[in-house]
Amino acid sequence: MSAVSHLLKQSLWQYQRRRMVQGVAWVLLVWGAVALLGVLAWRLGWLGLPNLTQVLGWMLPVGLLLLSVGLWLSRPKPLWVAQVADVRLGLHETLSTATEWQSLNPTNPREREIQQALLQQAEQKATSVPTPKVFGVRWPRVGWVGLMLFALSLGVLYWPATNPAENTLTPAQVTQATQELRQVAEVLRQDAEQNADPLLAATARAVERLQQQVEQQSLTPQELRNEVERLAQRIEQNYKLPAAANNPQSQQEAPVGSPEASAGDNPPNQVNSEAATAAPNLTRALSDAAERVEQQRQQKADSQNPPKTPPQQEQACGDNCDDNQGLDQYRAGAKAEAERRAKEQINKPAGGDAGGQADQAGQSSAPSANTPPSTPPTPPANTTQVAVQAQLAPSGDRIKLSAPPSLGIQTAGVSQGISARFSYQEEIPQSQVYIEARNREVVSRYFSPQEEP
Amino acid sequence: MEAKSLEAELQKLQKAREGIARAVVGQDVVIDQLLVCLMCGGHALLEAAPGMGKTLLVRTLAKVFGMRFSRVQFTPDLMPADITGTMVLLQNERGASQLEFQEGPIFAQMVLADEINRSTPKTQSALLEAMQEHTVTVAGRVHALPEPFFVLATQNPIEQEGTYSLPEAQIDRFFFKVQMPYPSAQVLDQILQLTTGTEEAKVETVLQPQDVIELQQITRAVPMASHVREAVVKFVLSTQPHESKNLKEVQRYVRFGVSPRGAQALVLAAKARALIEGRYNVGFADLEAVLFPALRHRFNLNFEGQAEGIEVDGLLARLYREAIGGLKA
Repeated sequence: MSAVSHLLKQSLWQYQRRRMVQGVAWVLLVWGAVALLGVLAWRLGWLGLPNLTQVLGWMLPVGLLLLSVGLWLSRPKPLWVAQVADVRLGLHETLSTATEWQSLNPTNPREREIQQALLQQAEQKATSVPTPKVFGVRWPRVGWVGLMLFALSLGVLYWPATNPAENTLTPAQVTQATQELRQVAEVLRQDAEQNADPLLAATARAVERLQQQVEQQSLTPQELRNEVERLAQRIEQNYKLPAAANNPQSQQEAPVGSPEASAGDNPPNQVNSEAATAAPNLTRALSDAAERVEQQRQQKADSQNPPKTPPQQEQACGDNCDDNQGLDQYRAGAKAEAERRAKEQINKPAGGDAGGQADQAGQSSAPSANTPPSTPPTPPANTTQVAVQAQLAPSGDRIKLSAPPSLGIQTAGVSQGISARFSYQEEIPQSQVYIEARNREVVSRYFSPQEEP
Repeated sequence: MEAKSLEAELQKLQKAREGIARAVVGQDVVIDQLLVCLMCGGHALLEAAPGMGKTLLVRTLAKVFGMRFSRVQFTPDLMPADITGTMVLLQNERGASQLEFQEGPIFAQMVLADEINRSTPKTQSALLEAMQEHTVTVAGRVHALPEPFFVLATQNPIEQEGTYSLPEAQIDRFFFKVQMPYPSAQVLDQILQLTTGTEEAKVETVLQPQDVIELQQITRAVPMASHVREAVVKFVLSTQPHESKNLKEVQRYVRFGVSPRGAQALVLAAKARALIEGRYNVGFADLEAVLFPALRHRFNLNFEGQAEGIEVDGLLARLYREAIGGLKA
C-alpha cells in the first residue's frame, strides 16, 4: 500500500493547496470589496484615511490567518481523498475500497483472497497513474474579481476630484459669493461713475458677469477661485494696489479641493470640512481687493478733504465767510489729479490689462457722452503700432492675427490655417510678448462671436 | 484458492465470454447480462421477439459452461407435472408394480422456459419452488435440482392474446429481466454470413458446472466500499413513492419501488460485473451497467403511470442520476 499511500498524500497536499488558493482568492475578494467601500466612504467624507488604512492593514493578515486555521481544522480524511481520486482518475473506486478494506481482517478465506487481490490491483493502479493531478491548482475567477476590486479601489483613491460634491457650488457658497460679488461690483461701479473711468466700469461689468455665472451655478469652485483671483489682480492693476500675494488668505485657498492636496498630508475629513467652510472664502480675494479700493478711496478723499478743526472752520468761514477760494482751489487740484489718474489708466499699455481692454472693446465703438475722449496710448520705444485682425479658432486654441508680413507678425509664433469664427480689430504693438499675452481664455471670454462668413 | 488461481478463473470466464460472443453475434450486452445472472445464481427473463436467437443463446451458454440443457415450450395446456415430473407406475424385474418419480425437464442445469406467459398461472407457479428453492416436491417427496440451476424464461413482448401475464411475485423471482434489442445492419450482416453458410461456429466447453459454482462464491466475496453501498441505499429509497422527499414523478406514477430483494440483486450483479471487467471491487460504473436489467421488472408503475406512457428505464435513469450521479462527479 505504499504507492496508494503516497498517491493519497500527494492528493491530500494538492487538495489543501487548491483550497488555500481558493481561500486566498476569497479573502482578496472580500478585502477588495471592503477597500472599495472604504475608499468610497473616504471620498464621501464618512471615514478618515488613517482609519481606512488601519482597517485594511489589519484585515488582510487576519483573514489569511483565519483561512490557515480553517484549512487545518477542516482537512479531509484520506478515505475522502481516495474517493475523489477514484472519480478524478477513473479508477472505479479501487483506491477507496482498498483504503477501506486494508484495515479489515476477513475470516472467510475467499474474502481474504479477494482482499489481497484488490490491494495488489490498487498498488498497480496507483503506480500506473503518471502524475496524479487530482486537485489541479488554478487561480479562480473570484480572485480576478478581487484583484479588479482592489485595482478599482486604488483608482478611486487616486482619481483626482472625482467627487461630484467638489465640482459644484453649494447653495451656501452661491449665496455668499453672489452677495460679495454684488457688493464688489457696486463699489467698482460707483468708483467708475465717480471717476468716469471706463476701465473700472468694464471691471465692474466683469464682476457682474461673474456674479451671474455664480447664480447660474455654471462654475466649479476651482473655476470661481481662478476667476476671483484674475479679477482681483485686474482690480489691483487698475488701482495700482499692493500685490495679491500679500494676501495670505488667497494663498491658503489654493489647495482647497485639489486632489494633490487631498492625497497628501491633509486628512480627508479635514479637506471636506474645509470645503464645507470654504463658502465665505471663495470671493475673499475680490472682497479684499474691493476693501483696499475703498480704503484707498477713503484715504484719497481724506487727503483731498482733510478733517477740519473748529478753529480752522472758524478761520475759513468765520472772519470773512466769502473766502471759499481755498476750498475751490483744492477741489480743482483734486479734479485735475483724478483726470490725470484716469488718463494714466486709459493710456496704460494693453498688455498690462488685457481683460480691461477687451471689455472696453466689447463696448460700442462710438464714444458715449459720459466717457471722456481718451488719448491714444503711447507705443513703446522698440515697437510699432499696426492694425491687425485677430481671429479666434472655434476650439479656442490660438488667435490668428492677420497683418502685413513685413511687420513680422507671422514670425511671432502664431500658427497658420486656423479657421476663424471671431474677428476683432485693435491696435497692438508688434511684439511677441504682447501676442503671447493674448491668452486664449481671455479672448474667448471677452470677444463676442460673429457669424462665420 | 490462491490469488493466482483466482485470476486464472477469471481468465477462463473471459474465454467463455468470447466463445459465446463468437456464436451469438452482436449481443455482447445480453451475453454479459446472462453471465452476470449465472454468476449470481439467479434466473433471467428474456424478452425478445421471435427469431432473435434466444434458443441459440441459451444452448451456447450451456455448451460453454458444460451444463445440462433442457427446453420447455410453454403452452396453455401444459400442466405442472409436465415440467416438474410425475409419479409413474412401473413394473420391476419381478413383475411387481411400484410408483417411481419420473423427472421432468426442470431437472437440468440450464432450463429454457420458452414463452412462459403462454401457460396457465398454475403451471407458471410450478416453476416458483424450483427457481427459489432449487427443489421440486412431488408426492410429498422433495427432489433437489442439480447445481448450478439456471432458468431462462422467454416471453414475447408483442403478442399478448391468449397469454397469462406473470404475477409480480413470480417476476420478482427473476434476477434479471433482459431485453434483447434488434440487431443493427452490420450485426445482421454478420449473422447472415455466419448462419447461412456451410460452416457453423464451433463452441467449446471452457468451464465446468463446478467452475460456475466457484464463480458464484467468488462473486459474493467481492468487496464493496461503504460509500458505494450507501449510494445504493440512497437510490433504492428514492424509488419509494411513499417518501415525501422523493421526486414528484415517483410519488405520482410509481406503484411500489425497488424491494430489498431488488437492492440485493443490484449489488450482487454489480459485483459479478466487476469480476467480468477484471476488477476486485465494485464501482459506480458496475452499478450503472446492471441497473436496468436488475430493477426494471421490480419497479412497478401504477395505472396512471402506464396511461401516461412513463418509461421505467427513463425514470430509473433519472433517479440514479439524482442519487448517485453527484457522487461520481
